Amino acid sequence: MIFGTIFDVKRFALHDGDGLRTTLFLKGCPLHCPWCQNPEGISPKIHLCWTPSRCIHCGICVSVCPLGALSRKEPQLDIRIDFRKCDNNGLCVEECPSAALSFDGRRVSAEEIAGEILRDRDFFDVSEGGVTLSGGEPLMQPSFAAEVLRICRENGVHTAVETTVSVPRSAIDAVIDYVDLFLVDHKFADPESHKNILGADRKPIRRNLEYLLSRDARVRIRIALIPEYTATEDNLRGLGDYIRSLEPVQPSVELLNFNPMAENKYRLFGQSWPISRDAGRFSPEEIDYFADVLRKTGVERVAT
Amino acid sequence: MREYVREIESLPKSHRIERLKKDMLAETRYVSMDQARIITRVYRETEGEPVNIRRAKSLAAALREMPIRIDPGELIVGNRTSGVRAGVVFPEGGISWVNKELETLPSRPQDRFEVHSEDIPYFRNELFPYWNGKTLEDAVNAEIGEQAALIARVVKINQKDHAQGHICPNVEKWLRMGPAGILEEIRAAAAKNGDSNRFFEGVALTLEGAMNFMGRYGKLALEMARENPNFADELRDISRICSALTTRPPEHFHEALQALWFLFVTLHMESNASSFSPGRMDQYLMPYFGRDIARGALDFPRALELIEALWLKFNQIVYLRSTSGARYFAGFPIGFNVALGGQNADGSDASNPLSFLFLKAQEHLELPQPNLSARLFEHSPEDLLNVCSRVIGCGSGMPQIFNDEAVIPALRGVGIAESDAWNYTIVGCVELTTSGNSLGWSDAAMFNLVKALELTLTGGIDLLDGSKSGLNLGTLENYGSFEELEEAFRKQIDHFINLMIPLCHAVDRIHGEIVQSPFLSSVIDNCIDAGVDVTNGGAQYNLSGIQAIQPANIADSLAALKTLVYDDRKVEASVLLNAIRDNFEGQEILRQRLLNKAAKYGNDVEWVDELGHKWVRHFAKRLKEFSNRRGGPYHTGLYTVSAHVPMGQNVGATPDGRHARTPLADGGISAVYGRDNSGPTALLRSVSRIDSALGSNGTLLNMKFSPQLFKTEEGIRKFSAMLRAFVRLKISHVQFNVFTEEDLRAAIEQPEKFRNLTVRVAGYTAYFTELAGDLQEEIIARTTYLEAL
Ligand code: SF4
Ligand code: SF4
Repeated sequence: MIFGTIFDVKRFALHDGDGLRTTLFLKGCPLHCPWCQNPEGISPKIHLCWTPSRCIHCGICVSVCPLGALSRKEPQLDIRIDFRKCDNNGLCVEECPSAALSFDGRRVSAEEIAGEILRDRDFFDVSEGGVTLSGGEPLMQPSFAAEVLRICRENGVHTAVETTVSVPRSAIDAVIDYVDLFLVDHKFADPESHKNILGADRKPIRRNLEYLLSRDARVRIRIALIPEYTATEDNLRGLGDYIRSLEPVQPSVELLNFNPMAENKYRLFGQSWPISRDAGRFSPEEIDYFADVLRKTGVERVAT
Repeated sequence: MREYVREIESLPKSHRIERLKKDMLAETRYVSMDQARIITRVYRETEGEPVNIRRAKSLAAALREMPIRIDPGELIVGNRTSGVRAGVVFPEGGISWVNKELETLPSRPQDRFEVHSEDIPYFRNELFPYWNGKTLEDAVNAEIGEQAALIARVVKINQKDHAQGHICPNVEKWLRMGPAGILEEIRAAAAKNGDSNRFFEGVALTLEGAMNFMGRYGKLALEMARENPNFADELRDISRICSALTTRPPEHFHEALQALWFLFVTLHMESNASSFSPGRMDQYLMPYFGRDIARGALDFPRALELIEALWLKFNQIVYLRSTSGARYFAGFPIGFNVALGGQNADGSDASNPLSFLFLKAQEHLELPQPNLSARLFEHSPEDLLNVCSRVIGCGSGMPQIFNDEAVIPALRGVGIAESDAWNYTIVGCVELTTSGNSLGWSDAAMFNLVKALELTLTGGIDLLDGSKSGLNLGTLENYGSFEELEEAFRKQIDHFINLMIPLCHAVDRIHGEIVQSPFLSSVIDNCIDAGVDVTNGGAQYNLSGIQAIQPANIADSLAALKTLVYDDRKVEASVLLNAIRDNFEGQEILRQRLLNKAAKYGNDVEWVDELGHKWVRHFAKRLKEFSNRRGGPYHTGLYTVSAHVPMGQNVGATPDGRHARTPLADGGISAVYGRDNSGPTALLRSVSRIDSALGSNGTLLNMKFSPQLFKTEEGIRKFSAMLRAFVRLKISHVQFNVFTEEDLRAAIEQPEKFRNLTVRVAGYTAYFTELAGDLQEEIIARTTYLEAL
């Protein structure tokens, strides 16, 4: 049995590929996008987390922890977790009556999670939907990802992987036979920005993308429009110039609107949100404008 | 998309209709006693005559004498009162509540009506003294009042103070024959069979009255044509139509719509009952529509305007309920239920241009009536699904969706012939019926399973007032195993079913004695052949529906008991029992455990869903062992309309972590709000585990979506796909509210700005600002499926 670490299963996912889908989020990511929508997916490790809005301040957790990893901060009675002491034994999670304590991920076998995904087969069938592996970077756990995808595919479910392809070639080879559609994130045209902001070189990513195309994989490039970062004319023009040059088939491009909702999550995880406070979603007109920038460079298929 | 769908999709609003709508909503609602005066006079004149004759004569007199009105610009005319949206006092049903509440009607929390000052002394000095002791309500109370009170905590016996509605008459026949043609049929039947009980005489009196009523509108329109030069031509048209209908059946589309409306006005004048359904209008109107289009006498824009004119009319009859009744059915729903789409007898798709015109009319008007229901099935075309989805996305909660794949087999299961089952339609909110040949007696009673469970846990003691209210089979502390608890629950349910059935029987019989309905009998198949009034079993099908309330709370409560008390033994039975006795006072930790440490219905967890299914199945099976007074079966409904709020007020704290007196789950088979947190697909899969065949009287599922989803074509397509999956999962019914919490909060704060905002309450749509505060809050609390992040 192959196990993996996931942090969420989202049924009725509408934006991770075609049709109605179930998106499986795998933990761990090599990049560090400052605006990451799923910050709990960056670390490959599982952490205990505490949701203040659920907590009824009963103190049970503090008394059950055998390692003294939990303490209460007066006067609001906030729960403090000492991660150096916590060994994830889960006793507090078990005993917390309000589900305020939980782990930000879980270990599951590929069979088990595939079974969970297959529950919505009726919905996939009627909508030409299916399963999408996302993250984090799902290809950080290649054999687990491959096994989940294989089982889904074997059961007639369409499979997609949302990836930055910022992974070794072997990870791509592990899954490529079980993937109907690669949704490849590409963020920066400029290698310097790529390196500085994401913390990874642009070159291996582009090489992997080209490799996928050379293997006749179906690829859709996704560009997340982040105010002040990716959503600039220069950057989009640069990306467009590159995409236009891709062979043998020029991949389609999908622009993803910025989603300010993630700000809440940052607050929850006690991190600071890197985008201007008042930045909202782009208007349909703005999105059209960005799409036009791409089209003018010669990109043929742009979806918004 | 079919060509005609494209054309209909682009039809604009009509200024005329917009103006009429505005005027209608601006008119003050009054209590009306005009018809009560006429009925009372005729009853005084006819002492000693048989009831059906007195009923027929008083209806005929009302049809001849009620003040009538036509508003310039109206294309469809007629109403049962001269004012619109009037609350009609109907003495034969019951007026003791009016006696108590008359002065407070203008100020009560739900469904307010103004009262004309001259009506108050008339009511007190004449109406009430004459009718006191003679009404349906009085007769029911005298006969079963005490027994009904004894079981009232678990069983609410209904239909005690008004004639039975929830009926779909044979509109097709009415249009084909007209009142004159039916009158001939009656005369022939009387000549052949004799008329010893004067049944045919009564029916004939009402048909003559209906013809006279139409003629009066013909005359009025002609008079008005002289005084309103701007509307002279169309008033003359209306006059010609109304006059013609007195002697012959309708020939054209406009005539057919007008004839249909006269039928429904007359039915309401006879019965003042909640809900007569036009049913499958897109099917039986198609010949009239098709002919007119073919000969060039009608085009789509004109047809739409006529339909919208009728849609306005459907909003002009509302239902006056007592204060407590208005809490169960808030927002005066009257249930003109129109079904569209579905299939033909041969299983082919039945949708046609009228189906889409109805959807367009709904989108344009966004009014609570008609209660628009779309029938879907395996082969429903994509364009129908997409247009339904788009209109749902506009937010008025309609169309609600019914699923042939679930409904037809369910109806077959209660003895409906195949030749009728495919042609099913909907009455009231979500109740299923055949077309034109059934007295389905929906909502005969509401059975509160959650209260029965409470009494099972407490040894028959009511948690709210400590009274002894049920069987004492032990308490939670005595049941050694989950199975023992379940066994006691079963006995408790059976005990109340056994007490309930004779009372339903009695109410049914008293209806047959007091509120016979000769006019209705003329448009329900088999009544004329049998020479028997519809209230006495004249219809071809005679069912009785009883609601089981509420599987979600039952599943969640039993799941919590099983997991925490019996399997994991984390909670002591005595501790839990004390906690629910104390309404969880000082027991928040335990309550949180119940909420969070046991699985909940609506999350695709088989064994929990199965607990809901199991008890619905038990209930339905027991009901089927009885037959009703008219010789038909009892069957189960899984819909509560807005009754989950008052029903909940009657139940103490429950093991699912619910506080005493708070609402039960909404709808009928919805999950408890906020407890289904695995998304809509998981909810639908859970719901599909409650076999829809058990809810052959109708089921109700509420879902709430964010408007975001409907902003793009792709979003609409995905929503349509979800509807397809719903069809495959064989769930009978689903309906949608589409709005954000902010929208609703704004409407609460500034009601005057949001008068138009309609929401789906239960199986019906009502104006949000006209709902009482607790119901508004409850609607906001229902789980919303947001657009995915
Ligand atoms: S056990 Fe849970 S609810 Fe109680 S204090 Fe700890 S986190 Fe809060
Ligand atoms: S998981 Fe275990 S070690 Fe960590 S805080 Fe909870 S009880 Fe303590």
